Amino acid sequence: MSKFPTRLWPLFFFMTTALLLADEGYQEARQLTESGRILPLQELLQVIQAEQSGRVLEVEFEHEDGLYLYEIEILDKQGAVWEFKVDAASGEILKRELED
Amino acid sequence: MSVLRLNSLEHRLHIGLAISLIILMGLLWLFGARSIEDLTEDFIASRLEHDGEALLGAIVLKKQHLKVRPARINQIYLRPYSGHYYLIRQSNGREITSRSLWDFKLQIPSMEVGKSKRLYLHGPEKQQLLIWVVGFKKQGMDLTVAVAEDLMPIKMQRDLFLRNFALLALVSLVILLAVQGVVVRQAFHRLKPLREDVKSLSSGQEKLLREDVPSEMTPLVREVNHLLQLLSRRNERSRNALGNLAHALKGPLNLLTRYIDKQLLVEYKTESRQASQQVERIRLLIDRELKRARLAGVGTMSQRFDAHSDLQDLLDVLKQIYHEKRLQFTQSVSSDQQPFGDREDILELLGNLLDNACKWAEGRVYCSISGINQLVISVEDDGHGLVDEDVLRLTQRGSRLDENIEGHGLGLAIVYDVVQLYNGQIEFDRSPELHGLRVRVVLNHL
Repeated sequence: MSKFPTRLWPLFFFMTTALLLADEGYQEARQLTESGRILPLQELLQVIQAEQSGRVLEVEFEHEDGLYLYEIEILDKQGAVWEFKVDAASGEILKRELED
Repeated sequence: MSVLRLNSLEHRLHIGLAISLIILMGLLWLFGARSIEDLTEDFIASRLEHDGEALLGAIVLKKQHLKVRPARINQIYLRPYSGHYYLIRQSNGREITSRSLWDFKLQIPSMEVGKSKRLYLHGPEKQQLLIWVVGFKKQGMDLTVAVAEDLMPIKMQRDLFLRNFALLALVSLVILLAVQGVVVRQAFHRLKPLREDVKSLSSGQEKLLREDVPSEMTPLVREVNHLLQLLSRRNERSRNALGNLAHALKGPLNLLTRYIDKQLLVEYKTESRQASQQVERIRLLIDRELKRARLAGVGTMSQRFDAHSDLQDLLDVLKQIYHEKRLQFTQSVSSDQQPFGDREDILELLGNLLDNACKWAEGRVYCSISGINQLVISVEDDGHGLVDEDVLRLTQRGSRLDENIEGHGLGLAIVYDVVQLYNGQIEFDRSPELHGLRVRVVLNHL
């Protein structure tokens, strides 16, 4: 670690904080799921997989306008990435689009 | 091609090969499946161990609060439901889970420091997790660290491999059975010459079997050849002995006959008359038994009777014997007549019948030979010497066949012997065309 170039330190800090920020979402989701205020991710994924089957690429949890939202990226068999926006409390799919 | 034909060597071999191959392939399959399972799980478990230790290194404790430095762990632990998860529990019950686990609850038991265990649990999205749980102590705090990996991808690979293996085993079983069938059939094809040899042996064309056969059959062929030689020598010896005896007896018998005849000329005595009769009887008996012995010795090496050539030869001889009577012979032999029985037997029978016919005939003799699986001989003449009573008497076979037939001379006795030998039938009636006697003989294969 001592040989790490000094001018890259700011970048390193930016990356770690970004990762740490991305990390925080799931812990909040975990607590909310446990308390029953939002649906478990598995159930939401089942709803989405019924619409578009594929592997989960990324999940993000957001708190927006009093709503708990999941942004879920799905990779389908043809290699295309789909983005879904789901209401975490009701399981309703709010948005569905092919990511550019 | 019924599988149930257990008497067929080919099917027995097929069943044997199939059973042993199925058992072998089954054992290989079980062993292979077990080995692959153990191997892959050991491999994954050892990777989990390494990941667990790396994770332990990435844990920082600040004021009794746990943190994992994300830069020090693999990205795969960040992507939700990626199949790679970890869980760290403090002794006070606080838990840290990997981001990949998201909100999924893993029920992990707490481990004492230094203890470890493998667990199998269901994960999110129907994943099957292999979990390595271990107890650590870091900075004075007891920690339970669980690292998990989804086994499904590797399980699917393994199942695919095992399915392909089973398919391959099945295909190779079919190929092996086919190859074995060809080999067996070729091996038996080599026995065909042997069968032909045996056939020509019974028709009298061959004396011995060829020893150019598969080595497994050679001992059998040698035994048969040995037996054939033995039989042929024995036959020859007994025939020679009988011939010699006949010759040896003929001289003394002739002397006796002449002596008794002279005696009878000098003075007629009932005893001499009886002696003469007895000597004559002895000669007839010897002749008859000689012929019987020869008939009984029907060897496998004798020649067959060929109606086409042999009948003509016989008629030529009879023409010469009876040339004074200027007999007219008519013969009929079916064109596809196969060689039959023993040549000498049939010639004996036919000779006697034709000789009788010539003796009684006025001018015409008719002979026909036919039959495919049997030999049917019919001899007719136009003799007038025979009254209906005689025909009737001859037809009463019950009394005629079994008893002494000296009254008819040796000829008919021999005829009856041959008929009996060939399990045949003899019939007498009046010829519808020539109006003399008609004798009809049917002989069966020996």
